[in-house]
Amino acid sequence: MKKSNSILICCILFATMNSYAQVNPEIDTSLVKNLTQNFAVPDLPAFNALDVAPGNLLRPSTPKEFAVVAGNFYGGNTIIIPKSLAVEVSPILITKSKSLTIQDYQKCPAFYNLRISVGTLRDSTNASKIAIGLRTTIFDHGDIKYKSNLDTVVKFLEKRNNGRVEYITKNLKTPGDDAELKKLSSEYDALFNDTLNYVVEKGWNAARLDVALAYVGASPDSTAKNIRFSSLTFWSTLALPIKRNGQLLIGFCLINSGSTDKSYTTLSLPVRAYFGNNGLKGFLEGQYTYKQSDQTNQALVSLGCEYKLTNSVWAQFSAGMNRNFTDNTSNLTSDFRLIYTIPGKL
Amino acid sequence: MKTIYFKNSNDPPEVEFKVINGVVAASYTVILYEKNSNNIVATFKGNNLNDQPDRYPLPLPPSVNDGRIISLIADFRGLDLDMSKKFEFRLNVYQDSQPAGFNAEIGTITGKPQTSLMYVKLIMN
Repeated sequence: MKKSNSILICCILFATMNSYAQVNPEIDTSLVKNLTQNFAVPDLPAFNALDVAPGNLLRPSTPKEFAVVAGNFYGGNTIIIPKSLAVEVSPILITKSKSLTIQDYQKCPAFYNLRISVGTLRDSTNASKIAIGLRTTIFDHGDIKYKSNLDTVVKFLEKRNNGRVEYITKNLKTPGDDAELKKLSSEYDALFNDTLNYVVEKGWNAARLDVALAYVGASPDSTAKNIRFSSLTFWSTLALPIKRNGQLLIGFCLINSGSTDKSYTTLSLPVRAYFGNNGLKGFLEGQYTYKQSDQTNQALVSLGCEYKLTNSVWAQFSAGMNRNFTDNTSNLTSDFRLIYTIPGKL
Repeated sequence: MKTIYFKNSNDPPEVEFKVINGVVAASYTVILYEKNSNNIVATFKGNNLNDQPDRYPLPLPPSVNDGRIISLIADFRGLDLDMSKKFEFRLNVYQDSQPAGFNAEIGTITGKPQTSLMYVKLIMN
């Protein structure tokens, strides 16, 4: 497993180097690959299905072509090589990267946003789990590639351009140093800049809806032939904006777990509220869970924060308490994860 | 103002707005002025976010364009300020599908609405 993690990390480094080394003589903004946004990397179904985090919320965000998440950094009292790792790719966005136009993308964003993730986990007994996840974004009002968002930008620029051309042609002036024209433009910009900024840069908290499915197989050792069904998880998460600096996530998670002869259902209803900006935000989370396997009702409350370390690396930390109302026990929970994505285009 | 020379061939010169560098949304107008006059012969409008070509043929015969001035007025805004900080726009002139010359503007993307303005004077060889 350590070897496979090392190979994966090498692949990530190579992909990063490759993306920075590209020489792009011309930028065709009508292609989807050139319109990327550096919002938070969404949760990966194959990672969350491994049951490494206390909550069952699958966070939606604008899709990335490639993302990696690593968790379980704690080994007793020391930080160790992560025990769980997941990779998510958008196969259609990657394979059609050089030719997919915004107009094609807008015809069926849910299809182009389809993402596949693969994750692994090993525990202290060397037992392994492997997860395969599939997700898509049903709608994403924060995606700059969406028709309504681009139309807002284009309409503003068209009006600005038309006003400028009309002024120049009517007044027959050289436009370069015309103070009156500059004044007109700045007044016009002031009216629309806030809306434009929000559409282009601050859509991290826009309304979104993601659905995802993940299959988890477990093996008592690291051999593939011993993998058996462990669980099947379905998520649906709706994100709604709270004014300009907040976001509310309302989730639904259904897990079917067990073996071939006996299976159990777990139902979770998580809610999370973010406050902050794209680069740094805190969150408060609550979750109700019913586990059929031991007939328990549980509630989780946690606080956390998310920080953009660089354009490609995000860190997320949360801590909270899980209360089991059936046997009246409580336990503390914590989660730290690093999420990596390739900045810009592939 | 940049002077670009063209031939009196069968095909008209063509003018094109091109984003060479910079992840931007741009809306532009290309204005073709009559020789030694402020009268406008033709205007061409477009944006760089659709898949429509941004290349336009000038009037025929090619000789009528001798001495005319082309201006490009592009209003634009950066869309990826983290990764794209510079822009380069070109006003290309083609004839017989071959480049005849261009004028260019290079600058910094500010994150606010910006304007690019370029002129080209056409002279027939």
